[in-house]
Amino acid sequence: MRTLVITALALSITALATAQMREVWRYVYTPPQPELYAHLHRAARLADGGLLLLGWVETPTNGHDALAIRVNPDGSEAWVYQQDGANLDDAFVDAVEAGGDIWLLAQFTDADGYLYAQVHRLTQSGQPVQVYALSQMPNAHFRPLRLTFGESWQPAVVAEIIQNGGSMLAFCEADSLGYSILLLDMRPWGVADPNPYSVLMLGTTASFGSVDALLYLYDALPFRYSGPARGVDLPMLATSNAIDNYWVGIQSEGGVTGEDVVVMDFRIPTAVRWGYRYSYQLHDDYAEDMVLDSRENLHLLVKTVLWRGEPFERHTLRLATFSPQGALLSDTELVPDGTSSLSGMLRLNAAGERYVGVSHASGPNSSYFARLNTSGQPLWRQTVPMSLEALFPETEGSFLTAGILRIEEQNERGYWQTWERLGVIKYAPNGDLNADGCVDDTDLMTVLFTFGQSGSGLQADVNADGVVDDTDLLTVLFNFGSEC
Amino acid sequence: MRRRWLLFGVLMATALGVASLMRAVADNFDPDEKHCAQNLKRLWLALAMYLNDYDERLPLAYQRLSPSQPWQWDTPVAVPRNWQDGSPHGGWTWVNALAVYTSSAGQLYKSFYCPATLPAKLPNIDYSQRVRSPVPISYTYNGYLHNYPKAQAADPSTLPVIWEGLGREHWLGFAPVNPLLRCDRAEDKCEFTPCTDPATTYPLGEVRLPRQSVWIHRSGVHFVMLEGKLVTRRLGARIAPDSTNPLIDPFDGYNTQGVPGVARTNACGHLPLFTPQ
Repeated sequence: MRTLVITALALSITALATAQMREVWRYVYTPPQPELYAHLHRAARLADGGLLLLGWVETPTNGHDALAIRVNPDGSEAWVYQQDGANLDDAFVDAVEAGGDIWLLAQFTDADGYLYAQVHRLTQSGQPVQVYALSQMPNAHFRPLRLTFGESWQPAVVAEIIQNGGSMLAFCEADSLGYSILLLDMRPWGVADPNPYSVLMLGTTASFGSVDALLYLYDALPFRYSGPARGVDLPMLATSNAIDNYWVGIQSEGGVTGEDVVVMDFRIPTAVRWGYRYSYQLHDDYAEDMVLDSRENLHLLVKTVLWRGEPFERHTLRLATFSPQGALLSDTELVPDGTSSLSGMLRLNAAGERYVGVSHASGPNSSYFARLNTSGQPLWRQTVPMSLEALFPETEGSFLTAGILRIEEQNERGYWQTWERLGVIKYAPNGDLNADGCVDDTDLMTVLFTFGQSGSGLQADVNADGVVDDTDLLTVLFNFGSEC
Repeated sequence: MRRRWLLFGVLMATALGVASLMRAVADNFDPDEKHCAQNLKRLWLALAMYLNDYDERLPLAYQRLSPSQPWQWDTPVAVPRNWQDGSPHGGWTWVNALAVYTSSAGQLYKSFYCPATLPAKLPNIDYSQRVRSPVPISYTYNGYLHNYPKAQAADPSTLPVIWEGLGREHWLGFAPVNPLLRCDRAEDKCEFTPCTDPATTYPLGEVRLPRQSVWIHRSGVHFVMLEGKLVTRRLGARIAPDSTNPLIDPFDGYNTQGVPGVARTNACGHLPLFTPQ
């Protein structure tokens, strides 16, 4: 029975292979020499609707250079900012747009091979204004994690100091004397910073035989979580909706339940409003992504490795939704069978519509993004010719996707070569609601029959704003007859 | 106090018109994990092509300058092999041998680096003298498989071939091997032999204990097995004096930072989890 359900689900997803989307533009970064590889570490949305791509690019003799690329909302390249540190292993790892400028967090290596950090302040046109250098301890890595702003609206850097295999968290905030540094005895894994004044730092600390999750808010007492198995508990995800309220996802060893995901609604300083240990049928579950909607329902994307017959037989993505009180409202299988490197991301648009991005599902179209209906099943899905690293729902139902594209090019001798290129693709709705490859009267009727309806997961709500209205109708009309 | 600063900050932000603080929507603390896992899968695909071309015999882990000299089992090989001086000689061990199979277009070394790791320069190497960029390598090759016939592996589905054996570290410009075979005799064959008597077994084994934490990713440490399966194991799941699971973890005696203190070897210095027989 179970096999039948899974097969039916797989077939229904296959039937949705063509999406309601069309490609609007594509940006591809080509390095100075074609064989050099550029890596995307993070993509950040800018206020004008453009994207900032952060990472590194190979160089012929100087290892990796830090690389930041600004892509305009129309897909053109605004500027490329490439920086070579003193040595080989350089990258931009984070960015924020604040005060009309763009601030980049850079990771460089010194002559001895240790990491150190800089903050580069650029104008909107990509011109450097100022460079803040953070000093490091001798014979230690200073690994920058996130860039944020401190209480006096000065740049602050959350970093990890690693010396002799041991880690500490460093919170560095600029002040009138240069900058102050706060050291904490924890290995940092990440931060949540819903606003400049409430940076929640998440990490691990170990003692008494177990590795515990540690949550620390600047100026408040740390909160420590240790699972009942007394094993490894790693904070992996965090989101927030207000100054003092956080939702945290912890990768937690569960004993007989294997790897679990613990989600907590956490109010500073130490009050846990609710917590839930998610474990699907005693299999191994790994936290992939988490979003919070406007009603404070928490949506958790989980990769589950099903053990059956032999280890790691089946890799799936599941979507669990929790109520504001912490009750499990739904638990749906989104991807029934993926490769062992299957991964996913979860997004909400402004109207609260849910989207999932998937990399390394099985089959030729292994990366895609999909819009989900209210029961968590895909309304449609759009395959993307890239390893999907970032997904941004835009207004009017469009999307920005960023990742690594595989591009076939013919060289001067006529041989076809495959290059991997960092790139961005924008998609927009095409009005083909039934995904039959043609915008025709069936699509038009679908909009007309549901015109005026509101709610989430409506197929005819082309721009995904929560209501079927004249904008949706016009999208179908403007595209009427295309591809037929 | 914090509230007062908060009010001040909000006022400042409003006054200065600097309220936009944009960043990626979701914050996964380990965004590189899928990249690091996918790399191993790619390396296995390259290995499969290599085996097809080399009569199903696995790549070299070590090099030697001539047949009359012992293998340089404890000397890491430069990657790319000529980055220091452009010399065309030697260096055809596992990374340089597999690199040509990883790409059709010259992006040869991108799959050997996991961005979640920390850089390490090898001692006594002059990195300022170079004609090419040294490649960062995050993965280690199972040195027991040095020039080993694939057909002799007892169970390819459980035999690790490449894994994150340096912990949270990558080497700049050199190919790591872990565990290793101590092939220090020129006259004897450098090929794994099951341990019978430590006095007569040759070669004996050596293990490189990671200097950095093995808590690399949220799900653990990635291995790719000889038959191609990608496996993730939670290493360092118990801290000393508690012991880790010997069926999963080749190390034990972990400190509070996830750095192992000992390797679980047999009498010949071999790690049983990595032996082909």
